[in-house]
Amino acid sequence: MKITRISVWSSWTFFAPLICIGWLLSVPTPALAQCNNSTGFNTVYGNCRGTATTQGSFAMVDATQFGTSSTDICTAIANILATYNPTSGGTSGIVIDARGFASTGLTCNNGGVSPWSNVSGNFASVILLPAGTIALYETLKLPTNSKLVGAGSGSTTFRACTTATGCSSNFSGSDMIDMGLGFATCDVSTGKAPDYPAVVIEHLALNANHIQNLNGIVNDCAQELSSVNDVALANFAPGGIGLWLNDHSDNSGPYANISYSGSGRCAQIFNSSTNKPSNLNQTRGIHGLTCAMSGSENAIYLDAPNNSLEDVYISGGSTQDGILIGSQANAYNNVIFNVRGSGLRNVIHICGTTTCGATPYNVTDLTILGVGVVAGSGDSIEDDLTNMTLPSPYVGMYILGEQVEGGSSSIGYSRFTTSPNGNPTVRAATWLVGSKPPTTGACAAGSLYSCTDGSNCNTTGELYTLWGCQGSGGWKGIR
Amino acid sequence: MKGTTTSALRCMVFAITGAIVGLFTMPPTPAVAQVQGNNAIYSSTGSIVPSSAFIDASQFIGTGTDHSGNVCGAIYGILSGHFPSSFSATIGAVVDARGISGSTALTCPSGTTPWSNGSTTVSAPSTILLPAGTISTLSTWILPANTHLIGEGDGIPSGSSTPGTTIQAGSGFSGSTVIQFGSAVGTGITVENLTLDGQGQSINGITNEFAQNASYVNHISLYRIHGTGLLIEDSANNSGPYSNITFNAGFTPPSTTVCAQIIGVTDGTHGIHGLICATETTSYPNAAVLLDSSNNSIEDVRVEGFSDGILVGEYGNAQSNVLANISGDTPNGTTSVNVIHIANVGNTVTDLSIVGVSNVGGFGTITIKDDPTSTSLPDASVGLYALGEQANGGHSRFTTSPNAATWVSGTTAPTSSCPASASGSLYSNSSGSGGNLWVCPATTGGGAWKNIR
Repeated sequence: MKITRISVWSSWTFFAPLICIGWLLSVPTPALAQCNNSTGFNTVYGNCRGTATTQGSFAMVDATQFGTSSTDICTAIANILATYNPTSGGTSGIVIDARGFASTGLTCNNGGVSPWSNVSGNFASVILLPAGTIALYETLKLPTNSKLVGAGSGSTTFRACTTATGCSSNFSGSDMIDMGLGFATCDVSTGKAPDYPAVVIEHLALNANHIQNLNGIVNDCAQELSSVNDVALANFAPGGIGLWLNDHSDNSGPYANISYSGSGRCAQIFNSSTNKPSNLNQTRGIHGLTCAMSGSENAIYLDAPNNSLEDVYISGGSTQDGILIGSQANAYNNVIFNVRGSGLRNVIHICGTTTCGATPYNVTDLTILGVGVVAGSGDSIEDDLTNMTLPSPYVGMYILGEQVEGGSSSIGYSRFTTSPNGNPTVRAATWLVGSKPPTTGACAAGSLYSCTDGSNCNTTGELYTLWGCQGSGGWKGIR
Repeated sequence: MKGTTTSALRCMVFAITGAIVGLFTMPPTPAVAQVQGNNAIYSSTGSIVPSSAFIDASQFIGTGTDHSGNVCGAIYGILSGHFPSSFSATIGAVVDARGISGSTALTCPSGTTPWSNGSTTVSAPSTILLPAGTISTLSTWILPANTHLIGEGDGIPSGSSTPGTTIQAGSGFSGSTVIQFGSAVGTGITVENLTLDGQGQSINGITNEFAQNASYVNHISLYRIHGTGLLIEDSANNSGPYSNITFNAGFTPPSTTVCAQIIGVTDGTHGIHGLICATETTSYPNAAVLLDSSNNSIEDVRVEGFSDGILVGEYGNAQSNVLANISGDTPNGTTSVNVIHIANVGNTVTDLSIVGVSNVGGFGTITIKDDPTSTSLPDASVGLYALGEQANGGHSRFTTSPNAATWVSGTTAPTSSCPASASGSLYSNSSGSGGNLWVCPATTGGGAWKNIR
């Protein structure tokens, strides 16, 4: 009886696990491994084999699961891109969420290779960066359709590496971020493709860490749909340019809400004279820029046609220019408005053909609206082409047209300004309007004055509507 | 012996059974400790692990320890570290509150905002994603430096349209403004994609007195704000741009209601770009935009339902400003209507460039009224009006309007008379015959052009 009981019990205990295993294998449990639980996928509720359960979603791929360490975000990004790009049989695009990385000790060190180096074709990527300071070892080369988004220009910072600041090696490269894959890949003179469209950089900061000759964002060849927004550029050293729009960045922009501090150049728009005529490097402009300049370098170099600079503030020293136009290449048909300077030599400096260098360049058709000197004793506008310097703290309008020929030589430039001032003795010719005849006092030779109220415009018994300034000779009615 | 064997077998079988059952019934335990509100992702082993990419604030809504009954309290609990989360007070994080819903959860009690609880405040950087719906508040939201407040969309409520996210000043609102950019000079404060509803109270919408670089506003609607919709003042240097702003005062706003004002910002701003100012009444407030500061740009503006569209220099000096693409659409009511009005009340207004002004408000409205030069332009549109500075008893000025002194070019000598308003105009005849330069004489009532010889 006992034996029988044991036999029954033994049989049950023997078969129970098998029954249990069979049941577990046959029931459509959340068999995650057989549904979608790919590494780094976001967890959402879905339907797996007829049962509502958690599944992975490709909406975002979390980079923390792809790293070789808990702090190196770029190796993780490179691993994801290598996994999912088209050459790996991947998709046409991806959102990589790196915001989950640790907030301290972050690095970007992919062995000297840009994390996007495995990307080919038009594979689109959006990279969400974490808040914190990221030690940057190599240039980030952003290909077509790549978007780099931080947590804010005061929150996410790439700091260029030096061994003196705790990195294992110094930063390699001349640019912190390239829009496009670098000049060598897009120089039309060498027959390379000129365009890497849709490169976007937003909400982050670049700290050049005082490295000499290191540039911040360089756009050699990212064109349509490419832009920069809410970016801080800090600690740039001599020889470095914070924002450099070079040669083939046509139709890119706007470059908006940018701040810069350092002793290099704040920004430059440059169009090489060796470019094909169809490549003008005309952008959608820089809109909203603050340059805090140290050292002796000028802040902004404008050396290309068809650009707009808008809402710009520059602080610096008495040997620096705010915006220097036409010193490196031709610059025509540009629009500049709402520019303020503090402590500068000139807020805006228009180069003469050889006043800023030995090589002559042309500046024409320049429209300037709203210039202010908010501090210091510098000038608002120095125009070497017309030998005019406007010292007034404010200038409403200054429009420089084109050279006017007289016989075989130039006799001047078409120009209009609302400024009645000049420095030191030569004043700008302008056009004044008043309801009474002009009063005595200094006036710019060649200025006009329209007296508009007929009942008040009589003087010495004769009515003059139009008056001309003779310089030291004062105003004279024009019959 | 047999009994021993049987017992051993039984133990082994139970152990195997237990292990198998335990294996299959065990949840996919995270490799690391779970943190409340963190995003959940799959690890390389297929288990679910937390990611601090963002913190879901909805997990802190409720009662009891580490919970709050409302969105403000939940966010405050995270930012202040009172609630257990992965939030770093030094570095900050993304706080996703989009999962919070219901009128109770979206009502913030008096004294509570995402950054304050009574007199206690937090200043950690963060990106806050607000939910759709109406969040009622009774206190000013003072955003600390490096704070990004993002809703799900803005708009003016109508029968067919409801904005995505609205922050509504409840009855008895205790502050003077719904949102304030900082309490000391700082940077990096942004507000995007939401509506502020003042419910007809005489309060301001957004006030920026302190925030500078990287501080801006984008896609904001200001509804029933009967103070100043957007007030930029004092130390808000280099802030902006303030973009894509829709202001609607609603019905019966007081005459002092203002859409936007820039006043006393010493170094200037990055401007207001894209602004609609409207009311739903025929009793117009005095002015839509007050420009009482230097070195600013205001562009792409449409004004409807105000006596003055942009009033320059009424309450402070205003020099070196640029206005571009300004459109007025206020019908002539009981008072004069001006799209742009340059005041002459003792403050200094110089170096003002105006490009592209239009007026579709009908008869009797003025496109540009320039008090310093006693000029009123009734033109439907004006291409350029640049007012310079005072000199020799006049003002340097240039406009393309033919209703003021301008410069006309033609290919024949002028034969018709010119109006009195155009006295002082020049005419260049490029034909080479019949006189090259002419002037519109300053005779009363205008007259025939006179050739300058």
